[in-house]
Amino acid sequence: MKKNTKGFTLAEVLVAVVIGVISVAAAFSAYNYYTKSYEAVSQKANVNSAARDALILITKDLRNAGFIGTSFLNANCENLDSRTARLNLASVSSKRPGLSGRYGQSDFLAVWYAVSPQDRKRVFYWLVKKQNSNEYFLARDVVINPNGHSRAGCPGWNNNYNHPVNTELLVSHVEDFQVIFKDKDGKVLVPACSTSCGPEEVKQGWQQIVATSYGNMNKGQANQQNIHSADIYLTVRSPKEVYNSNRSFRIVNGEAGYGSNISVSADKYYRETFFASVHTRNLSIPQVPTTNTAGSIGEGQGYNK
Amino acid sequence: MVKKNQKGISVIEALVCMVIIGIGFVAMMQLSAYSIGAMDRSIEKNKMNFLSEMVLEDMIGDPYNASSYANISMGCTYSSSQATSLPTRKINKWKKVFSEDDFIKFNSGSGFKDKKPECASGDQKKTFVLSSSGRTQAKINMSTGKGKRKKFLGVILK
Repeated sequence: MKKNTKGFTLAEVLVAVVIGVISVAAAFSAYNYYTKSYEAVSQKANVNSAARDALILITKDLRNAGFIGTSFLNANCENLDSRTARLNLASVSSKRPGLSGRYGQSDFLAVWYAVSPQDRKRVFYWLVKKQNSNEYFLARDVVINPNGHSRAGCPGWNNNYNHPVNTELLVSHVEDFQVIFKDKDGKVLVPACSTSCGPEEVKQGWQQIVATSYGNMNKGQANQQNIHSADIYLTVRSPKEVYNSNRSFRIVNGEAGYGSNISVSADKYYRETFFASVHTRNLSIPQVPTTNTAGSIGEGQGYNK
Repeated sequence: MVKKNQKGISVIEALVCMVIIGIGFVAMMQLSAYSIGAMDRSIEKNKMNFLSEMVLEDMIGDPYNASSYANISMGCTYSSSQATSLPTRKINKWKKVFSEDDFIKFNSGSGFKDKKPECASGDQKKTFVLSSSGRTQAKINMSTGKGKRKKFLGVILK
């Protein structure tokens, strides 16, 4: 037998194969693990980003809610007077069938505010069902001068200008959307509703006529001027499955009696509730202590000094 | 007798090669793990930003009771307490939000919730109110990750 035979022995080949298989298995396993982790974190990041962007928009609209500029009543194209301009400021309707999402417990939010001496903006937020799907998305709809242009000298209705945002998708896979208005004492304020009022507002007698300093209004409309702050809850689900095993959830948003309490059947999706607290700048104003005499009334009532 | 000009690589060379490749492989894996962790931490920081804004927004909405919001520490657990005024109701709400008492709950036996920001020893969520020369300032200090990640936010209330 030749001593200098070229090639590997069987033992060398077997050892090489074993080492190779172990290396490939480790690489595959690690790749699989990191891909799954990346996918899960990406889902969380996407959910976070979409929900936070939406909350920033809602927060901005709620801060502006009820703004009526000094020259607005003399120039607005809708021909609103001091009473009719205050009939619609910021409104929440709870659990109204068809507007309350997959679990029937979500809210419908509407805000109005002047954007120029002539124009007033109306913004709606609510959950809309996707076509051919059980999923709901948070929609935003913007109309400028929703009552039309009745003042002489104003241009005619132009859909491009007057309805710039038509049921725009803000966030996908939304499971719950709650807006809880609070008064100056931090108590839940219901009804504060002027449009599409739901069963809760009906129970609280939103249509009851009350006298205000601007004339008679219904209770839901009059209460809008008492909104001091709003708590917003938005529960979003990841588009894809994240967990390895099924988990059953309960979504609890808002205040007891005025929020949601939803049992979700077990699944592998990631869910998170996003929360924002908004202080309405133009509705209920802070209580200025009687001892504070340093500033003028205008200064005392300002917020953004 | 072994020839001196035999072709191929020795076992030592092969092992050294494998060790170098292994180190590279582990480094790549660690890089992936770090980048995934960084994404997770950025989500947490983002949430800290919004939570601190929530606290200051509530204080901006009640500037004449600023002292009632001073030195409030939010812990990891929430127990409801009697609230009779705007400040106490808001403080109760903060504690509830920071401890994630509500929002999403796993039904018993179905796992656990990964709280973000985590609530660990060394973490701090505390408000400060400073008044001087007719100005009142509010500040919130937050730290998570056992004190490693910090967030400070302040505004002039009035």
